[in-house]
Amino acid sequence: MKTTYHSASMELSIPSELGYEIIARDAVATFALRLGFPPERVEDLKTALSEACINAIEHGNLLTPGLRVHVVCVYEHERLIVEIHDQGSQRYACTTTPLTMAQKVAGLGSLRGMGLLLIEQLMDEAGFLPEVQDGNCFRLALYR
Amino acid sequence: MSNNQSEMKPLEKIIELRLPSRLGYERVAMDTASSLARRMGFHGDRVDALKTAVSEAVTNAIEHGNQHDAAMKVVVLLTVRDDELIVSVADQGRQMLDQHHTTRVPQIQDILHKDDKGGWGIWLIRELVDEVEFTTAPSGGNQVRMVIYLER
Repeated sequence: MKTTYHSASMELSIPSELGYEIIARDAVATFALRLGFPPERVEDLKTALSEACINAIEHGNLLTPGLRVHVVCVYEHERLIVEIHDQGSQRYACTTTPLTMAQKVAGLGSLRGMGLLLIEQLMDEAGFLPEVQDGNCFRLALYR
Repeated sequence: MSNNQSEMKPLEKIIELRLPSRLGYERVAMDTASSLARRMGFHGDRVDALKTAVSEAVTNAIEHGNQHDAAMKVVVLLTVRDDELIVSVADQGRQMLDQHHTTRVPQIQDILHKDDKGGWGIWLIRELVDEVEFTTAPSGGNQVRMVIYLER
């Protein structure tokens, strides 16, 4: 018999300081496990979420003390959506075609910036939401 | 002088968690508090005590304060200070806590005669953390504030 899972949502707000992404990672991992996602997929989510939070802290909020990173998780229709909001001192969404990992490793560009590529590999959906006011919003999705 | 003081005062680090009022989600609060406490340097036994206290507080908020209404939220605030961790758990107060229950020590002989064997949660919280305070949350619901001291 197939188990049915209800819709559910959770919100988390952390200081915009490196290290606190671990707290967000552990909170969201437990939420996903509670929803019945398999542990190996939750490990993917933990890696992707950590990367996204570090991006928000470093590039969105520019390591500015006092700013926050908000994480919103919504589960419905067999899909867990996780949105990472920063307070957007800087737009860091890529506006040009990014290099692939292979191109970066081949020396065609900076080795930095692999986080977004990694996230895309691990998640079923990943990307910036367009036209967000007052900051960046990066959205991840994991399908059951 | 006041400017210098405010510059010297370290920023409190606050983590805010808003959870659905459904049993099972207290685990999210437990693991968040545990992750934070470990990061702060608390010993394993203190982390375990905190997890149990947080679990009891959030379960009370879900079951009693919010009466299992999934549309209501439980708000957990974790405040990091140099020498302590403060955890506040607030519900939306569909049912207000009788203050009498916050100080009463349950007697095992009384519990044995009841069908409901619950009622140990608040006593347990008091045993596990260094400070406990039961108040009304700004939102109007019940709030329990728990503090554990960091001994280095």
